[in-house]
Order: sequence, then structure tokens, then C-alpha cells
Amino acid sequence: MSTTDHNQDAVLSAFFEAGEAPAMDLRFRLGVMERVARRRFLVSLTVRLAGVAVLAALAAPLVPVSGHLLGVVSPELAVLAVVACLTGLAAIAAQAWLDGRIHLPRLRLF
Amino acid sequence: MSPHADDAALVAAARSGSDAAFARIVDRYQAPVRSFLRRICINEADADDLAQEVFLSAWTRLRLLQDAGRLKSWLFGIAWRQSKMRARSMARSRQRDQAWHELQDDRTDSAQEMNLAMQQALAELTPEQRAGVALCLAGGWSHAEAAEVLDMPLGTLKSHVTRGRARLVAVLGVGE
Repeated sequence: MSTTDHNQDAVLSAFFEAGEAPAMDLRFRLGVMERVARRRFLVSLTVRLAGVAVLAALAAPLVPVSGHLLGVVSPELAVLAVVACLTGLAAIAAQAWLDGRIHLPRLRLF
Repeated sequence: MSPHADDAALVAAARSGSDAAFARIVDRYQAPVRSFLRRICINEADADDLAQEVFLSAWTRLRLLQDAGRLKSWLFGIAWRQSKMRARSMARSRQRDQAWHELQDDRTDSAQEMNLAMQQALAELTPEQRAGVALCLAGGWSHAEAAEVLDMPLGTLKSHVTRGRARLVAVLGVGE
């Protein structure tokens, strides 16, 4: 290799060293992990919303039946039943949200 | 333990949901990926933002990585493809930067001057030449490895590296 080549290589390596990123940058790592956390949240939100949509679609055929049943009982009891059902569903959904899986209530008849 | 074996273990742990393992992957490869992107994108802020996107994309697609031992070249492949997708917006930000530097001419110190000189020299190269030069001359990759990462024939890559080097040498004024 000639002196010119050596000279060129030395200049080029000095040139490249000037643009080198630091070996370790904690802010960079934090930035990446923050984006990862945000992406994970969006993915889980999407999955859960899709789950709710599926449940709503499955529950749709029950609406006429429940409407009929609510018509049989008195209006006060009907409101109470609706509030109780919505509260129960909200509790199950919240627990499922926190734990990542659905816990169905144990129905013990005896 | 070899770095590849270590990579495989980290990838396996990250795949099973370990954030700590993924953070170690980020720590291990942030410097080479950021340096590579700084040479391709020229603008440092754009390059660092893109590097974060590269790692995010890697996290999303980690399950698609077939050979965990090839993690490094897989990351560089993502970096190269994403830089091509963002080329237009990055060219605009480069123009804004250049205009700003022209306004700040009187207030630049020697480090900024060096940085500016490097940006100007790299801007003289095509993106393919910058990528080839960044991998083979600055990063020490073999031509075959770089050709695989950049998804181009070996001969084409060699030609980009040779032309890029000659252009850089001319711009930096070390021709003779």
C-alpha cells in the first residue's frame, strides 16, 4: 500500500470517528423502551377492544329476550337489574384488563 | 459465551416478554446502528429518531427473526430499509439544517465545523454509496455481509464503496 493510500485511510478513519455515536446512551435506551411501552399499550388496547366487539356481537341476539324479560318485571326492578348487570360487567372487564385474562364469577347454586 | 450465542439467548428472552433482555439488545447495538444511520441520514437528530424506530420495529417483528445469531445484520437491514422509506422527509430536514447553519456561520466552533464538514462531504454521495461506505469502510463489514444487509449484488456494492471512497477522498482534499 502506498503512502498516499495510508494518508487517505488515516484521514478517512479520523473522518468516520468524528461521526461515531456514543457507545452507551441511557437517554436513547429510555426513548426506545418508552416507544416499546407505548406500542405494547396500543396493541393490548386494540386486542381488548376487538374482544369487546366480539362479545357485543355475540350478545346482540340476547337483546330482544332481555327486553322481553325486563318488560315482565316492574320498571323499578328493571332499572335495578340493568344497573346491577352493567356494574358486574364493568367489574369483570376491569379485572380482565388488569390481569390480562377473564375471570368469570363462580356460580354456586348449593 | 460467543456474542452470537449471547444474542440468541437475549432474543429468546425478549421474545418471551422480557423487557430487560430487549433493553440489553438496545444497549449492545445502539452505537453501531446509530453511527450507521448518522452516516446515511447525515442529520444527527433524524438519524437518532430513526434508530429508535428501528429498535421499535425490531421489537414488533422479533418473532419473525429466523436465525437469532444474525441479529446484528437483521437490525442493519431494518435500518437501511427504513432510511430509504424516510429519505424524502429527511432531505427536507437536511435543507432546513443547511439554511440554519448558513445563518449561524459566525458562531460555529471547531467541533461544529468538523460535523458540518462531514455532513457536507457525505451529502455528496448517493444513499447507496453512503450505506456502502458506512458499512465497509467505517463499520468494518465485509463486502459480502454488507451486500446481504443492503440487499444488492456483491459487484454493485463493491462499485458503490469504491466510488463513494473516491468521492469522499476528493471532497476531503486528500487525493494526492
